[in-house]
Amino acid sequence: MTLSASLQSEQKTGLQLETDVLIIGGGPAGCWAALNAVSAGARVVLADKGYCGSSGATASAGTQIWYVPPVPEERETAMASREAMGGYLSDRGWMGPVLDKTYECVNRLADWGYPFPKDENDVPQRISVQGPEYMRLMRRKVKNAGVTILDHSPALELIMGENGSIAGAAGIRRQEGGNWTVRAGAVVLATGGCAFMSRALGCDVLTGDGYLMAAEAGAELSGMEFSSAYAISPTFASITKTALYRFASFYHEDGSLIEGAGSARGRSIIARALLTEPVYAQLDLAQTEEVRDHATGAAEFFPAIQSPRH
Amino acid sequence: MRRAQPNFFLPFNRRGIDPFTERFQVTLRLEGTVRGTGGLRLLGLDCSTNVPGLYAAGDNATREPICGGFTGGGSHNAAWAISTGCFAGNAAADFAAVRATQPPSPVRRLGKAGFSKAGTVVDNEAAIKAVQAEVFPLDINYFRTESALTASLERLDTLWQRLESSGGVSDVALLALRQTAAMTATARWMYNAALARTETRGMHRRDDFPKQDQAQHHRLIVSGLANIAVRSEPVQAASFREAAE
Repeated sequence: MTLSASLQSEQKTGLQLETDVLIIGGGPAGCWAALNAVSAGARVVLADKGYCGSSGATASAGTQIWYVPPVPEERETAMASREAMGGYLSDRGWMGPVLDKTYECVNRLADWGYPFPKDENDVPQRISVQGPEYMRLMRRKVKNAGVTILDHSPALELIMGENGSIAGAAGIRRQEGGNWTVRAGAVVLATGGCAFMSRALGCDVLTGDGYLMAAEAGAELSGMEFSSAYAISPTFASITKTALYRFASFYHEDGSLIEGAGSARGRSIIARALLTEPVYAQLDLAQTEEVRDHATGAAEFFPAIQSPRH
Repeated sequence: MRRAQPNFFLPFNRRGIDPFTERFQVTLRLEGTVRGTGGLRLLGLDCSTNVPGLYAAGDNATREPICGGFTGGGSHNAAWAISTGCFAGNAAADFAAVRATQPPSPVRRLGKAGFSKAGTVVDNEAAIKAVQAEVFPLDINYFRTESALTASLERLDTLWQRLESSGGVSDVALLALRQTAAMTATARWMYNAALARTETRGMHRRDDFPKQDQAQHHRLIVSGLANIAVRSEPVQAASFREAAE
């Protein structure tokens, strides 16, 4: 056997593991899934396409969290707030459990030492997290829980038993070289959505891999028509901090104002203009340094605040 | 503001642009289903899919149960990642515990596109550009119409046929091919569903059907790869299986 032939045969075998639960994807969903599977008594392997803790949409930026205390009026307002915008396709049978579990887990993050900021009355503000700190903490918790983490190990396909049940997955190891195969009693797909490599910050690893693997197993998808999300972004950068554009005016190339254009209600006016001409923005609605500081703090921590447009 | 958002201001600083006093060119960058709401259909609060032993969590799953047809990302998506992660992890552990008591059965690998013995050679960079040329343009994906969606779908179907019979590569080249296949399949599910929803609802905007239609107050379920099927499902039919814990 030549050297390259023996290397090939070793690569064909590659890393072989057996576990109870395999999690594919190491963003927040994958990490929470791993922790809960361990708590339920399972041996867990987590495979990430990149490095669990820094890969994906959450790890690259700050994010708000739908964190609502279990006060009936607040919960009612929270649940009602997007029903019309979402075209009445949501379901309160889900919203309640999601709000309960999120509240519980975000409080647990605080117990684990996540540095939530406090307001002037010393009350912690738990409605947002900084992605890098959040995901660094999650990786540490997952690792300490005894989960086997396979970094830089994208999954390429699922494995199915003759009984029709999913029995693992296989993929490649980008750094060590070769392949991996994990046999598992159940698989959780947490590979994120699909942003088509549009260079939106943190999103270029999100190429719909989990959809494809699941569909090959016969899984169904829902709501795929709700897939026309576009972020306002400078042409020269990947940053997509759309909230800040509440403080922007939008202009034609000749410097005249595009009437009605805005980040929330006037998004389609921007889109319509972009069909035929370049569009320019300026954050000129935040006029003093004080307003600017307040504006950004607001965008980050207080989603309900009104923009100065109103 | 600069202190709170270092990420935002870095590229401006590099170019010497003050975004408060100077205009800068902007574009709309597609975020697809990351900040859309579509994804794998869940049977209930245990986050199971219709395939036994397969669970989905976070943006990989449809977020319609909490946001319907609109989300701006962040907030709801972050809560969804946390909660469905917990639900799915729990349910998967329970499922695996039951499976462990059953005799092992022979297994097979399910990967098709990129693994084909036909081994059609695909120029992956060109294929990525071809998918992007169907999903980025605002006059196809943002302002949706039957004529533009249909024409786009024909081109995507042709691309899919080539990807489906592609193969003969390994390692990183195979990963690249699988990613392109996944994006192409995603685009085809998107536009099949978009054609079927002949109304404007949530973020889905049909310029040829600009109003919300009460008769289409349902979810659209897609499945399949070579042939894509679309069916409708009432909003609350599937959602009341008990959470695993």
